[in-house]
Amino acid sequence: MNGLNPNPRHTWAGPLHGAVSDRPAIAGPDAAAKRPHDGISLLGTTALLFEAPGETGLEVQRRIWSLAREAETWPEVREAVPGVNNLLVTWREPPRRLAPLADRLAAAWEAAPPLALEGRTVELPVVYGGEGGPHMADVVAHTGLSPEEIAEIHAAPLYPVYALGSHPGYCYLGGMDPRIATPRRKVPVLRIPGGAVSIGGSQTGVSASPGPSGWNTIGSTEMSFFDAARTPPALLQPGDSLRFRIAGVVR
Amino acid sequence: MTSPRTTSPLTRIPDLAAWLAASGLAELELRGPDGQVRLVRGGQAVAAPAAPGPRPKPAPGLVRSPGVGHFLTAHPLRAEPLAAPGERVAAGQPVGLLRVGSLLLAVTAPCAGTVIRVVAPEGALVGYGDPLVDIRPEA
Amino acid sequence: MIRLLACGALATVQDRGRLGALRWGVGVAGAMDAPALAGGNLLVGNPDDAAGIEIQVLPLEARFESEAVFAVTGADCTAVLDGVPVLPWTVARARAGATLRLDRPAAFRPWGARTYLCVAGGIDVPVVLGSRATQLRGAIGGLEGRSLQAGDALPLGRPAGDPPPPGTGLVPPVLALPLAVGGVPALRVLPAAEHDRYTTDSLAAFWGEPWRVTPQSDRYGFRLAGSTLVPLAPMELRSHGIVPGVIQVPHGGQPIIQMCDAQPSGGYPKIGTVIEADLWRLAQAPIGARIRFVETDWDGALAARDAIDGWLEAARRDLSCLRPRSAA
Repeated sequence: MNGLNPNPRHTWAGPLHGAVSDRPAIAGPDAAAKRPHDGISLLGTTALLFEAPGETGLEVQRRIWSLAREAETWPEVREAVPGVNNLLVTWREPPRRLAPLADRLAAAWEAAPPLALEGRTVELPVVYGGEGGPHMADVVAHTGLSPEEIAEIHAAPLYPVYALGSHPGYCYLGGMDPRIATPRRKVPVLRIPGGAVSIGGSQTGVSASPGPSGWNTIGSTEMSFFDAARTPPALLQPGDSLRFRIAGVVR
Repeated sequence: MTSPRTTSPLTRIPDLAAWLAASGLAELELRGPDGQVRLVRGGQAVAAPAAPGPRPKPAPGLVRSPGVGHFLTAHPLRAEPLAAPGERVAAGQPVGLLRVGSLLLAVTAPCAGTVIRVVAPEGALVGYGDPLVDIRPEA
Repeated sequence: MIRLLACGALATVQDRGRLGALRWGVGVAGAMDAPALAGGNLLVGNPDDAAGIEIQVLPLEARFESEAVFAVTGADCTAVLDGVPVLPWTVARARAGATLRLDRPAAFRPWGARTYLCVAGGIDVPVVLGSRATQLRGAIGGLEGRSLQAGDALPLGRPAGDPPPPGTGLVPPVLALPLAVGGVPALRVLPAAEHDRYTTDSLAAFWGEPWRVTPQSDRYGFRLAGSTLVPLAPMELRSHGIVPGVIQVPHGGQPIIQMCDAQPSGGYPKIGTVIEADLWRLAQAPIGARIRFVETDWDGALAARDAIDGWLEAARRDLSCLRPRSAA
């Protein structure tokens, strides 16, 4: 452009990137050939993602909460945000060398004791199916269950809040019955309303405001999950619990 | 006024020296009504005030370079020139740009008039007082 | 104060973003082209955290209710202040009552997709959770958490000091730091966790072929069209935090690059992440444009970050030499 020579900085140093299990976890020569950390991968230069090994569960999540508390005390860390059995770590400035931070994270995980958070329980009435649950048919098709059965199975457990994410005030919940697990949609929906109760894979949740989503919406509820003027701004925290009550099933 | 004011360049020598060191230019010479200054990168900086050099002959419509840099006839994001021959320009309107380090400094018409000729070639390294654009002032 | 007389869709107040609110599910938002906002703030003498207006659809017309110094950065457009053309990426001064009109150029094919209007003092909307950036989802920050519209009055903060003189401009990063492969604008990518779980053909296409920016591309994300990316085996991941730049591959096999208003978490497989230092290039890719991905590593990504920081610091240093000082 304008006589300037495009000069892509294209380094072919090899696939030095984050990995799921069986390869060096961290890019850069300082990490190569050193002890790799399973489950640690990069999100560009902005963050690092730690995935806990094994099955998804509350015990593992309690260790994730513990790891988050620990990592947030490190000076280079801006935020340590729990996901579902994983942890996102953002930093103030990307470290020149990644290995020390990754080493510390791996060691902290090994040492992390389960942190039992005792929170509140909130009950939400849900109308399943109908206009407020446009993808109920897809869950019916995938599971072979009726809408009434799906509602009953969905409303049975007490769901622990594992993590916040997706959008302001949104909660990731643990404990959904695997019988109603349904894959995420092939093409995300551009707009689902606030209060949409949905299933994505083996997880369920309630959208806190209108927006795009790749999950299957099976019902709707009303609740203000987020208010920026409140301290803290989110209604629920990790460790709180949510119970759904069947307010109706529309076929 | 759109060009940097250099009414008293001698008071700005530390700034200028730092800037020169980082700009990639080898040498910087500024002349003003009250003297001149010449800075040489890497060498022993010469910063002595000297007697005013020969003043450029006054020519009301001739746009002269306000400093050292590369003269551009168009903004590098665009293709069309800022002032084409035959075009009427208003006083203060940019008729070219001076690229100095990371900066693009507008060179403006001193008076309203018609562009006769762009004197300096595109991309040329020009110094203080070098003629850039010739404008026929409006009566 | 400035008053919007005309305003296209999707113009928002943005600063460099809302950092540190991920724990509540609040993403970063902020300017899509961060160097354009940073350069604009430098030009008008603002601190780095000042807010400007991000403009996606032209025309936009604004009246300065009081005298103000401003700069128009980012994508090029025709800018006219009371009938007088204003140069891109250049300091200009508006008298009280002056009207600025930004429009799509008829005479030239513009570069870029997003233009920034930066005003000395910054757009002084309330700081919400540490930032003035508009986050449309959840209606946080900016002017009432929404896009701007004609009739809006935007308060200006107190200018921080003497800005550089009018007519002072910057060489934009697109000229100072160009990046293309085979004539196609390129983005450097760090492979992400699920990169190796795609077929050889898919990876060859991902790295080797151009991708088209589809009309379903906005501040949330850029949906791309090209070869279908096929995983070696179906993947269903647990939800995890993500950041702007993450390239997700939904089941349909067409990648989506998450952008500033993206959800701060997700569960689609991640093939890579566009490095932070190149997100502005994507922000300026218009709908229909083609882009290429170029693989990099940690050191390469940091060098790219240093380059863009270096551009900004050079601009800061050079501008400081021009700023009039009463003491000097």
